[in-house]
Amino acid sequence: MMRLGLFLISLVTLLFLCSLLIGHTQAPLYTSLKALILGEGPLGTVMQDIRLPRAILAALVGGSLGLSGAAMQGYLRNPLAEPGLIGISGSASLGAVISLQTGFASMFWLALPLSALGMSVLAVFLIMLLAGKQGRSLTLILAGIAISALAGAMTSLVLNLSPNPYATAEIVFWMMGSLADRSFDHVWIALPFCVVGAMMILLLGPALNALTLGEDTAQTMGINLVKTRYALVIGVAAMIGATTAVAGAVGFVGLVVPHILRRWVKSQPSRLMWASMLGGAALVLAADILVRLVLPDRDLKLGVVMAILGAPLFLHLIYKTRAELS
Amino acid sequence: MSLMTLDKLSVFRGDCPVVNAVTLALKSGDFVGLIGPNGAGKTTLMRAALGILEHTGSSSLSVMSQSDRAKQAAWLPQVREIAWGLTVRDLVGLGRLPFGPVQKNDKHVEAAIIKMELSALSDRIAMQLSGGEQARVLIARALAQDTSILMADEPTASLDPANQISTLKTFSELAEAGKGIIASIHDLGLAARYCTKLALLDRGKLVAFGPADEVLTPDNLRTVFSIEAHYEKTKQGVIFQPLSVLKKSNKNFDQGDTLK
Repeated sequence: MMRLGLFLISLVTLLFLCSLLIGHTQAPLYTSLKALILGEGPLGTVMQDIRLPRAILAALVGGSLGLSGAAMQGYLRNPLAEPGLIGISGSASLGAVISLQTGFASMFWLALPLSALGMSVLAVFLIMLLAGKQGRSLTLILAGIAISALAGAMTSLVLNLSPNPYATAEIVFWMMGSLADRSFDHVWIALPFCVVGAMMILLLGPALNALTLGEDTAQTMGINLVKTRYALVIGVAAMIGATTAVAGAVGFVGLVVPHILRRWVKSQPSRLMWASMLGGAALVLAADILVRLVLPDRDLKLGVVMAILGAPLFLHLIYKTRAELS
Repeated sequence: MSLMTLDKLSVFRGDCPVVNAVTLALKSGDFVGLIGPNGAGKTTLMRAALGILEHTGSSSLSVMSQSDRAKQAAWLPQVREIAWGLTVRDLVGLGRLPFGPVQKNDKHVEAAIIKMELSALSDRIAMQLSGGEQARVLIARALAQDTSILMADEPTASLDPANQISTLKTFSELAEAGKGIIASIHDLGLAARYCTKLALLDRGKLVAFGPADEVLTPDNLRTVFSIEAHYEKTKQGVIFQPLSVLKKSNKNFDQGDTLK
């Protein structure tokens, strides 16, 4: 277990460094790191204002997605659960799309992420209202599906009625998810939400472990289901709302990462959360490096690469699971 | 010593009382067999007593805080739910959750594993075991919680005869050691042999509570279960065997036993 932790931490560190070093402007390791710390010259600007925030955001987005995915799967006791299930990413996208369509996004730099965050908050209230007071998970899934469907439909409506093809193209590209051209401002928006959300979720370790035995048993082991659900929804919403706001919708990370790592933590939901947080960060850092390496001039979108990587990975996992079951 | 008291405990589904004003005291050393036909309210009674189901009247457990209650009473539901591929030892270790972070080699966990004869299986994946083995693992989990009260919903369901007997024997040993146990049991013969007291529920009402020979009377069997049975005290304990179904059955047998 310790070894897995060390391995994942070194992997994230390594990929973080690669993310800093790989890009349009090539420079030797020593020169790059010196420029990063001193910020001198054009390379210093590239390192400090472009590469560093991008690498931090990749780790932040990946960590949030991995952790949220593991938490959702643990809470719902279902390996197919993922962060998008409760409708937060869909709602955040809708907020962003509306701001792009109305031109609000171009009024000031914070407009788009704030619209996305605002819509996530609205979605959280709606979900809590729909899901009821009892703290059972089934009503939460149903409420989430309803919100996702509604947000998806509204997004389609905005695209449908969009009179401006440029705005439509902008929206479509935004929805593919990307970390290109982000600045420290984006980091500062997302970071507090991600940190608070992650803390809320990581504290749920014992509750998720107890839920392995079902909701009834968990309750008699001192787990407050209502509090657990509040913490889960608010924590996941904070992380997913914030990361969607700054990077768009990036799929598959929350689904695939817990799947890959589960066997390495002996299936313990609490440990899986830590592992998936690191694993998610590593995966998104790697995908964001790939985006820059494969088609550097075509602005390949992170969400697209993630889906292309994620789908076969997932198929492989299904194949392996099937072999284990038979 | 009284471990738990229920006073006029009722649970309503709509206007219909599923559990109707049950008053009962569980003492240290009691192994109470909760008996009654399907839909009599056995599961509902236990869940309400544990405070995980809304009810009227009072239960000394449900007024406690949730974390105090977890140290006082353990619950073994009928549905054997295990979500992930945890090892047997990790799963049994979950029983220690109410007491803070689970320690490696916790003595309660080891004791529970030995008591349920799981030592040879302790590193296996619990999900991949047979149904009977899984049942033993989940009982061990409840034992690891080391509470003075244990409530079990049909702990012997779908176990083979040897496992049924050893499970009930374990429970009666625990009661002898000072715990209080309530278990719903459909096999009246086993209940009569191993429980110190029987509680007979009929349509939500507690109609009899006491030693087996006071509860399993021909009268009660006829009115509650609509059966006739052979009851004999022998040197090897009570022998109870249902013989025939009595005609009259205007009762609804398919109400379902659980109320979620």
